[in-house]
Amino acid sequence: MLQLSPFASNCLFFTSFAIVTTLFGKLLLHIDINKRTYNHVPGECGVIPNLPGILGLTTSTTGRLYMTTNSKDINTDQTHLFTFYSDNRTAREIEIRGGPPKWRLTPGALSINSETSNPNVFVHNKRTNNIDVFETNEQNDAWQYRKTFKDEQFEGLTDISAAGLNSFFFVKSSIFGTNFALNIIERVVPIPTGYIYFVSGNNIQQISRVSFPTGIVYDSVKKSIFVTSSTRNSIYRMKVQVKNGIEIVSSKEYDLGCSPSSIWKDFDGSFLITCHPVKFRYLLSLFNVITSSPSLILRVAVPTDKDKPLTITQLYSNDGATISNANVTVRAGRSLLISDGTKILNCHL
Amino acid sequence: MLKIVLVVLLAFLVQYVFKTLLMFDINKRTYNHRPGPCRKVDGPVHGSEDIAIVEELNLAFITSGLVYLIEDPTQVTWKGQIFAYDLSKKTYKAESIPIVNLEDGDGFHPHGISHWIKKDGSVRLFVVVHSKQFRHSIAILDFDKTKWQLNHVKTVRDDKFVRPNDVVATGENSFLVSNDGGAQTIVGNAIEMFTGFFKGGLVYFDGMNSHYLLENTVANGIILSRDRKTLFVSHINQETIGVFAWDQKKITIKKISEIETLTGCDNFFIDNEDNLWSGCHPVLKDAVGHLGDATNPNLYSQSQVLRFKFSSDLKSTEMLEVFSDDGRFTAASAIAATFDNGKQLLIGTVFRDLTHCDIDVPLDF
Repeated sequence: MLQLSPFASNCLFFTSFAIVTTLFGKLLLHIDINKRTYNHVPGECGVIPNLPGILGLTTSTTGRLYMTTNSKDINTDQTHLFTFYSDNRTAREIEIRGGPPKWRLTPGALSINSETSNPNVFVHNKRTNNIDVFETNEQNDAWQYRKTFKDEQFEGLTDISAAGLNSFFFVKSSIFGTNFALNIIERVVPIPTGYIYFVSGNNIQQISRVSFPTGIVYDSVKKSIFVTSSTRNSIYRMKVQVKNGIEIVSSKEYDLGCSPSSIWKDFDGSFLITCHPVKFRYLLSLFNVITSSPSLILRVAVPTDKDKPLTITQLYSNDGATISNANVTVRAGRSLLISDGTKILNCHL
Repeated sequence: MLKIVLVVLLAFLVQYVFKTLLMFDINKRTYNHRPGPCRKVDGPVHGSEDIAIVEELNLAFITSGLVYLIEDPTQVTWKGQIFAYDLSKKTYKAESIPIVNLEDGDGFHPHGISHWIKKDGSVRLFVVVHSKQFRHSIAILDFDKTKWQLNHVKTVRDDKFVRPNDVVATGENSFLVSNDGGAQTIVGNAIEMFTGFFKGGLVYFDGMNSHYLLENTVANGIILSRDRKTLFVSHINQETIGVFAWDQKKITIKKISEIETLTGCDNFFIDNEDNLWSGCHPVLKDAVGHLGDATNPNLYSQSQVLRFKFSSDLKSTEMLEVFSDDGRFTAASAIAATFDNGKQLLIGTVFRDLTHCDIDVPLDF
């Protein structure tokens, strides 16, 4: 056996001690052990009755709000598409026309492209792991099936953002999507295990790796994609351009101070972001140790000037008693809609 | 054996460093939001550290011009004042009230303030006062409404007023005083903070004698509930609020609970629904930087206004964040007081101006 000299063994011990201690200390700070939430509402809030929680939300330029919702019946695992009218807080189910034989849709993430008078909606079909595209008709709340994008990379898709009639960006947050323990590690340790892809026609291109991305928005005016990273508590702005395929010409990371779980672009170019403000409570709720976890909704304006900081305004904050682990938010008129997957909270702005 | 001692010492050092980092809130930040339109109030520019709202007169008294842990008296270029702000109309202008018969006009730098309605209906103010040399006393002033002035009645000095911060009136000549530490210098205060051996506490003055109620702790803001039976004490460096049952006849307090706020709550206000309001410092490292060099406009720290709604047994509370700012609009909030049936809010700062907000958001949900 190799016998280290006392001096060498002391050096080895103290160096290892310092490294392990630093890593452990950083981990404790990272999971927010000295943070808490303080409740805050922007106006009167209430849960919308008789409507299951939102899984995905998007709006067209006319302000029409589309949502995918879970059925109350957990056994059937049915998901439905609705149009939501914020003025009277009612929802109407969308009729889907066309589609191939025996085709069924279990919608997940969705995004809208408004280049035509009847906007096109891109929907992640969780039954087939394909992306189905529909043309909307807002006069009669009907969607006309148009086409399907197929690729094995769509499995584990987290969020999608339409870039054109035949192109979109999407993110996958993890490698180990189905392995619970490894997925937890990916949520906590900031290593870039997530993917950002671009799809155009039949071509699919991986353009970047990000640590646990949870949301993506393509802004055609700024020619940039905005990606939220849950593990790094940050939002990325990546300028993209088409040049032998699409490529990222510059990237900038902004600190949010909390763990973002979704992103939605408002009409003025700012983003509504849902956050986990206290990460360790979120992790405990994932393990079912506690029943609720705080929710936070931020409005984030990313400046065009790279050197300027984000402008962040808090819109809603709750300790988990009213809404727990909020993961989708959207504004419709003067309504702020927040969902945790089981119910929808409607707050008046 | 020596190695074991070194390892134990090293482990202690590691946990000490980590606890200190947590105390300084190095991983915290604020997100801005306001309860409604907010405006600055003309008048106080060098502090609005404490506010006493006299509902009977629809008037707020605001202390300004604080001196704190100053070592060079020549640095004190500002004047200590008490402002009066009319709450019945939105003038956004506060007036400085003249103080008559002060022993040492240049040595008047007010800190905490409290009021008492005397038997004849007039208002008596109790003010924590520091001099330029950072000597401490409690000034008792009577408000003369017709002449619009404060008449100095008497100054109380006591050995137990080690480093007074806030005061609560309990009678025409009796009051509670909080000491927020024992050190009189910046270095001494730093030693207290870093070692955790605080020398502050709570003192009751019955008109003749002083009595210790709490020792070897940090007591910043103090206030009594409307029925004067419950005492709230801000342990600002420990980021907790102590809730005590107060018995004035027996001169005793009994601890009911300690609320962990995870933010440095400063002074207190009790609204007419018996909710507790406080101006807080959510990020201590920025607060220390700002308060250490208060005249530097490039240094500012976060502001936070919390409202606490206590359970009936006073052992738990629901916290509502009414106002939050990164410091560029309102720096280092110290007090928050509501009036107009909870529709308006005054936010005072340690060394800066006064903010007046409307409250347009629901406070119960």
